[in-house]
Amino acid sequence: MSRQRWAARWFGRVLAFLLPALLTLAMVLAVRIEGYRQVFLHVGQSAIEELQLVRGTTVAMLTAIGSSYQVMNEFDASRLSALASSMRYNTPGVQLVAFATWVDHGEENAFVAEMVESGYPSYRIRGQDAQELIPGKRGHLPIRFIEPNNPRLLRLLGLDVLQDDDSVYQVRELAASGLPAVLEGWRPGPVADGLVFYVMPTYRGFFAPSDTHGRLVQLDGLFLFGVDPQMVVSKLERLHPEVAFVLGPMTAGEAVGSGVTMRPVSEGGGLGLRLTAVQATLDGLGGLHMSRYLRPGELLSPIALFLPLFVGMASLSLLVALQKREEVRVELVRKERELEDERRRADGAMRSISDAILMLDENFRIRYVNRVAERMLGLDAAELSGRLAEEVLVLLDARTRAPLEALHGWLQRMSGQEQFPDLLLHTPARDCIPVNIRVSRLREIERQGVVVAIRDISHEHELTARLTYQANHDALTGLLNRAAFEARVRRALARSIEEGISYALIFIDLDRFKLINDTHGHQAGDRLLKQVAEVLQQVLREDDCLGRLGGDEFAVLMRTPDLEAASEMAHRLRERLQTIRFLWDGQAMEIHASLGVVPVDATSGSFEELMMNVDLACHAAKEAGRNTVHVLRADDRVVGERKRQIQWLPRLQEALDENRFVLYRQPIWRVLALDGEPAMYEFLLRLRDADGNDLLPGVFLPSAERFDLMRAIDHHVIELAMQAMSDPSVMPRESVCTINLSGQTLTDENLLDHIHAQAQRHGVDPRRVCFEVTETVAISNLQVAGRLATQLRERGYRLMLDDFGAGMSSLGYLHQIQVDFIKIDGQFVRRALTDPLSAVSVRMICEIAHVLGVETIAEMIEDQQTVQCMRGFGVDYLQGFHLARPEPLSDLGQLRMMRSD
Amino acid sequence: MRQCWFWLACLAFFGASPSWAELPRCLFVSSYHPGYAWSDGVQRGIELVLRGRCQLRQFDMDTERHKTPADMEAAARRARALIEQWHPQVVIASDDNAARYLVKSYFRDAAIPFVFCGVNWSVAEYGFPYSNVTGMIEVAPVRAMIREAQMLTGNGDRFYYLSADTATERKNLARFQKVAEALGLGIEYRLVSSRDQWVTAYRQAQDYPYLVIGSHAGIADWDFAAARRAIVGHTRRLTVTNQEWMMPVSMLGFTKIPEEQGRWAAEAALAILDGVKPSEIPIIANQRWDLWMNESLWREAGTELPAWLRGKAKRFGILQ
Repeated sequence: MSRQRWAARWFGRVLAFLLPALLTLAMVLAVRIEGYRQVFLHVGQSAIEELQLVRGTTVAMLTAIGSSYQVMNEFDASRLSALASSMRYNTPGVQLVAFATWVDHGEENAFVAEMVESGYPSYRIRGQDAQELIPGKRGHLPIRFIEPNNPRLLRLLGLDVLQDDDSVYQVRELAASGLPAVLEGWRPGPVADGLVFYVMPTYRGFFAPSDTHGRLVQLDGLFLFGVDPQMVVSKLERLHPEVAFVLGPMTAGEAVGSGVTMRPVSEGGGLGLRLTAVQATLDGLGGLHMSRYLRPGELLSPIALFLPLFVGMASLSLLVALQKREEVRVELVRKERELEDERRRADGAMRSISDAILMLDENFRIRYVNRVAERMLGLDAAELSGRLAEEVLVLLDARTRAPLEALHGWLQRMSGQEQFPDLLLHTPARDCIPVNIRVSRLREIERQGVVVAIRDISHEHELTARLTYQANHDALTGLLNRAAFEARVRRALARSIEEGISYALIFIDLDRFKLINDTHGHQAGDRLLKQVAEVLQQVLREDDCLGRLGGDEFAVLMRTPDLEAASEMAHRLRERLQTIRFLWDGQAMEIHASLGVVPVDATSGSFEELMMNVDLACHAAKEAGRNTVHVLRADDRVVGERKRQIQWLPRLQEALDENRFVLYRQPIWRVLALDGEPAMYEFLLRLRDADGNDLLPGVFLPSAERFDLMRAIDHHVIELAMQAMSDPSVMPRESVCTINLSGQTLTDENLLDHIHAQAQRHGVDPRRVCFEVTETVAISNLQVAGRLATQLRERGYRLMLDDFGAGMSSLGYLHQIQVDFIKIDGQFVRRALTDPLSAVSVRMICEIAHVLGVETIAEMIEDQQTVQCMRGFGVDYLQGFHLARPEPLSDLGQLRMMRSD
Repeated sequence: MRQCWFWLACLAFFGASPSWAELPRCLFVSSYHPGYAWSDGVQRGIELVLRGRCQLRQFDMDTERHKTPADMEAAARRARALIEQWHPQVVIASDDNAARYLVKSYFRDAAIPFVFCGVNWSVAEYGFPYSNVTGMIEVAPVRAMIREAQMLTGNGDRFYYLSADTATERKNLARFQKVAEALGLGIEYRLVSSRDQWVTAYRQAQDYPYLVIGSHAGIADWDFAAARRAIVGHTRRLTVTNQEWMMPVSMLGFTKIPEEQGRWAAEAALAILDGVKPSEIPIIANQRWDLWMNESLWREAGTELPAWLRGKAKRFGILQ
């Protein structure tokens, strides 16, 4: 809201409050003032009536006492006192009752004497000389009786009423009328100041004369009632304390009667209002001046203030309400526009979203559907509108395909937002489709319905099924992959333990599959694997579970009553595989496999143990010459040995970590210089145990090879060897040393870099280093070995084929591997003296080597006859216990076993 | 001990009342003694007006019981001593002895104002008014009484007057003689000093048409019961009196009202205290009297009561 608009709004609100409030205040003030004025006038009227009442009472009493006096033959002082006292007491304002008696001129002294004689020793007539009332009637009207005989009032005793001509005139008029009236202007003195005297003439005789003259002649005296108007005023003031009454003369121009003068005055703080008025005069008393001061508090009483505030607040509230209403209207228009935009966007969104949307009212009748819903339900919006949701949404449980309970009750029970997965929606077009339903109550408009969003998850289901299949199956063969197969094994193992159901696990490893892969490529290997899988499935029963665990490894999980049946199945599988004639590039190859069989039952231990056992059983079959079946039984020795190998694994790791591998060296002499210095030294590996004993490689190397630790060990040996060669105190400066490399190490891509780095680090000439690779390893990794040989030789290193002849049938590969030395298998050497075949083999190897330009080494020389024999065969170098036993390098110098960083 | 507590309480009350201490001092000097019916009535009237408006103190000269001139002069001296000691702002002196022995003797035209009351018939013998004196003369409705007695007894030509032999009664007797003379009646009187004399005179007076009973004040052995018994069976004539307290031995009473005297005197005292000079207040006579009848005496006398009197007169002896 802009600042100006805000200011205008508040200015309007202030005006809306102030104007009506002030107007109402003015009205309230006017009404109250008028009320006060009316009351004021009423009080004035009441005061006048009170005065009139006093006057009337006074006149009545005066008439009564005059009449009583008239009829009594003797009215002594006591009777007069009693009567006057009673009248005075009962007539408000009457302060005194007096009686003035007519004394004829000349009788004054007698009258005074009589008064003195009656107990008034100081009595005398006080006034002018005798006045002539009428011709012939001259005398005085002295007061001879006063009630009360108050000492102050008694000063009026003897006072002549006929004070002056005016009083004489008035008395004359009174006497003539015979009626009570006011003796106006008669001033008896300070004792009676303020009193108004009403008088009643009395006459001689029992009856007042009927004629004026007679009354004047027979005038006997006057009763006087002294009335104090101020007492009446005091009474009025007691009755109306808020009004001040003053009797006094009227001034010219004063409004008399209903006229009230109002003027604002400030008295005692705050601006008030003074009301003044004059009421009509009475019997010459002047005017009754009334005055009333209205205090601000009277004018503005809490109620008088409350009403303007209330009206102001009401007006303000009305304005605020109108402003709010206008704001609401504007806001409503804005909201409606936004809502329309929103509705359009929502409609667009509804059309664009892939979910079917149904909006239901509170009775779950369809009020809106989007196009997806129309398509999904096979009905257009007009057909769907107004129908109950449960009529068109036929839902089934996805697992049981049982119809769901009544949708109506289902929707009634749900609150907020809920999702209902795994449902099937029966549609006319596509029968049942899997759906996810999300139901939301429209919270903003409570009880006004729900929104049902239906998502067709057919595609997700298919995708999930495909992914699940892919996750569980081998892409090449379509068999279960390792994970899925292992899951089946885990379940079978659990069931065997819980339910006592027996299973068997068969592990199948193709023999020399790697050779096919290496020699004919992976495509050949893959083709072979698919063929193997097909063959295996043909043999297996429908319930048996076949999986490919990786590479050339397959496994079968079968339910079997005993292990023999499983063994029989394994043999059938092996035999069936043996029938495969794999053709590739015109070559036919036989397929063999080694199979391990283990029972799956309560004795199988954990899953890991089970898998290790079947692996061991398979290895046992391989070690047994391949193409065999090894059934794991309780007392299986072979497998026991394999387990012991496994137990070596942590010890080897510790040895590596603790640097407990040590090197020995065994000299190799040139045949022609057996008496001289050794031509070469072979480094031999030992493992120093906790007791300080050095263990031979045959104890721990199988485990290292089995568990793929040979790379690490070989790297370690290379480092130790290079270090030793750099120390002249350990190895002679020009000596050539041989270092054995395992088959696993040959495939190490970092091997060359490691060798070169260590040589450079220790300053070892590559020409002094010769690496030994067994013929079996070289043949198994022919391409790799050939490439490595080339690379080593290019860098100056030499290569030696160890245990040459053990393979026998593969002399042809020597063309593929360029070597510097051939070390004849020791078995041939050792039996050469006794076994002609061995002797011929040695001779033939030597001849072939020589043809190839490769020098030969005979190992395992254990006696002098063998030395002579080997010399005769043309062997170039000799090595064996007869010549020298291996000796630890640590005994030769101060070599420190230091690992490189 | 209890007396000590009483005086301490009084001291605490009056001492702690500054308003009482600040009130003007008014002294009431009574010619008689407490228990004397007339002066008790005067005292009631005074107290009725002055209570709470001034410090009122009373001095009783007791001249009715100690009526020798020496006794009365001595009492007047004591009263004067009290006045000089206490310095009242105004003094009310009741009845003739106070007027004669105190006011006239010591305070003529003195600074201290006096208001007298109860002075019978005339103040001429005391020379009132003085500049410092005003008051109310005690006037009995003698004429009205004699006129009524005359009517009731058949308008005889004489009557009998019986009273104590005191100055006051002699003044009263003089007034009666004056009225009788004015009415042309003869008056026989007897002023006595003892009850027996009074009884003897009473019985002798039965030969007269009616008997005026004056005050017993001054008869030392006066006993109303004995007097009452003495007249039973010996009353054949009307007996009238101007003294209310003589109603036990009177058939009809035209009585003055002592409270009127006391009240007027008190109001005059207040006016003087307000600044009005005593000389500005005229000396007046009382205006009121009342009508009483002793019904039992009437019955004993065997006389028929007039109807107007039976309906008008106050009954004496009923509920009193």
